[in-house]
Amino acid sequence: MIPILEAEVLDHYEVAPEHFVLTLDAPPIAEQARPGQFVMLRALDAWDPLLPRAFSVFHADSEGGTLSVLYRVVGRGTGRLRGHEPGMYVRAWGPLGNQFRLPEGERVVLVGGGVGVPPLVFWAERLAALAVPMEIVALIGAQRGELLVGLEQLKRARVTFRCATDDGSAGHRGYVTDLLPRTLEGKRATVYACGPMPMLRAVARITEATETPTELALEAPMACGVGACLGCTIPRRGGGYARVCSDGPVFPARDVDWSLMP
Amino acid sequence: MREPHVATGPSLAVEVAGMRLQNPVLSASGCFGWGEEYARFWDLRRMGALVGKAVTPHARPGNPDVRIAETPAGMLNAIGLQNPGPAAFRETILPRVHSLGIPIWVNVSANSVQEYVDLCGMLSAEPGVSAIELNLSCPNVGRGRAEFCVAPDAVAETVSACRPVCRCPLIPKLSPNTTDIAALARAAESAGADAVSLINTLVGMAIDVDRRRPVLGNRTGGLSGPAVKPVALRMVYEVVGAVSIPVIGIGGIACWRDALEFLMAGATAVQVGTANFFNPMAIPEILDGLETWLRRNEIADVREIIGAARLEK
Ligand SMILES: Cc1cc2nc3c(=O)[nH]c(=O)nc-3n(C[C@H](O)[C@H](O)[C@H](O)COP(=O)(O)OP(=O)(O)OC[C@H]3O[C@@H](n4cnc5c(N)ncnc54)[C@H](O)[C@@H]3O)c2cc1C
Ligand SMILES: Cc1cc2nc3c(=O)[nH]c(=O)nc-3n(C[C@H](O)[C@H](O)[C@H](O)COP(=O)(O)O)c2cc1C
Ligand code: FES
Repeated sequence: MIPILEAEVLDHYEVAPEHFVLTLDAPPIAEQARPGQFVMLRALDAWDPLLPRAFSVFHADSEGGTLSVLYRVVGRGTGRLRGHEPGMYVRAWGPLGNQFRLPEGERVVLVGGGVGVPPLVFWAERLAALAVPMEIVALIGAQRGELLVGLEQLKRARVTFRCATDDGSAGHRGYVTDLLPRTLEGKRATVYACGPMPMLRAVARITEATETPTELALEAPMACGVGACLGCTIPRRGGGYARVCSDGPVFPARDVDWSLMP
Repeated sequence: MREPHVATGPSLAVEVAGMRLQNPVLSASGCFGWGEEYARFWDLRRMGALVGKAVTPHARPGNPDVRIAETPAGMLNAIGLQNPGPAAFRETILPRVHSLGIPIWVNVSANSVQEYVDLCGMLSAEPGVSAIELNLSCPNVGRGRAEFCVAPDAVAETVSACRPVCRCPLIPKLSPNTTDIAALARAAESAGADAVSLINTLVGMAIDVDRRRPVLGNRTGGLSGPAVKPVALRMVYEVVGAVSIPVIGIGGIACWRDALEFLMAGATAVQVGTANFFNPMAIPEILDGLETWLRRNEIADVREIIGAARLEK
């Protein structure tokens, strides 16, 4: 059964301009959550916005029973979420969707842009805790240096990272994907990426050429988040559509028909 | 004198077209998958009947691009009737949902009278199919259709052609995109419909001002959710007054109060659509709420309140 509960807000703070980390008391969800999965959140008794919003699991502490998401305020759903002080409640259900599969090769490369970073941080933490020796490199992008998120968590997990910003205010000036080809050199790697669609498209193009196994955590407008409405589909290579919420959100990059992507 | 209070609680059972339903709360087509998704949240054996996603004469991949858009207290959809077609439905989906042990209504959608007849012939005698809901109203699959289903003579022609081949109750689902929905209902009734369900979605639109173009890839889509409830309720009230077959109320039902409004307007049962999306527990919560309300008002049988708000009575 998928837990659905009225979860108390335990902590809610700004990590970067307009970026917040929301921590909920949600033991049954925290216990089951795996990297790549997401939760649906919705204000109680609100009809504006009507639909819940999907958020990748940023951190799940199964012992403490807490679940965190990291989000950027962009519109009505996140604007409303932001008004939730500790002690208030949101309706939460999940975890939903599939999860990242274990890597092949000796190196793991994580490519994250904007609010695509949270699921990769969770994955990095879980991978770093495995007893298997592997090199983990994270490439993190944002518009400006002050909008780079998740770096502290990566440091704590002892994951190497490099940054890119559009304006050069931190790290490489340009796209985070500019850093990818060099990072793939030398060892067999597996790539995991999450972020804006143009970034994912660029990742897929690069890793297809190098034949590097690649998994992408995708986003799409969602209504139900559980596979029932068929609203969140993406074109599948070879024909037909896949539901981002329940066939994904994690897809091998080669399973997506990029020629039909918006 | 009132019956002494029964320990087992009020009866929620209703009868629709000769079928006994354990309660009047059903899922709406296209808003509940084939049940599996919600079986992960609650025991589906609680619901009155399961109405599944439309089945069309041939498999349809569905519409490309953006398929849904949120609107105030509602949403637009242009899914494009994505489904695997009747053969795959019969072989893979139906046996699975049949095993749930609840009545299954199959929603069928087509582009011509002959196709509707073929689908009824193919699916109505299948084990596990309790009723056929004729989707005479999907606005998202080509221009000809929208016109096809809003004229009473087209409804009458389709229903009377399907009636002889349909081996189970036949329930046309009516479009609200018409000026006189009571006329559609009367046409369906005189052509042999066993019940009617309404409403399907209202054709609507949303524009992305940044991109200066319609949000939906299909340009227009069907509006559903709480925003349509007053319109749906008015149409149900009107249709109940116009026909003597049972009416299934649909449109914006999100809580037990909404369900009660439709029942009091004269609907024998209701379907819950969009509400499942924003609350996966919508159906069981509505059932709990209805039961509590009946108990609190010392009403032993839900049928007592069907039509209770009708003024002509
Ligand atoms: C599987 C999945 C995981 C997700 N994980 C996260 C996450 O971890 N953190 C997070 O912040 N968001 C995440 N999202 C996105 C989130 O669900 C919302 O869509 C997003 O926060 C916008 O919601 P809103 O209600 O604030 O904006 P809306 O009111 O829906 O939109 C307002 C405006 O913002 C635009 N907009 C919508 N989404 C975005 C976006 N992502 N970036 C920029 N503009 C946008 C819209 O086009 C619209 O013009 C995820 C989505 C999915 C499907
Ligand atoms: C995503 C979505 C898909 C739908 N698909 C169908 C369908 O396949 N066949 C049909 O008859 N109605 C379909 N409908 C209409 C619903 O069954 C229902 O009539 C309508 O949404 C109004 O009810 P609601 O406000 O409770 O959602 C669909 C509605 C939505 C939102
Ligand atoms: S959001 Fe409903 S099917 Fe994916």
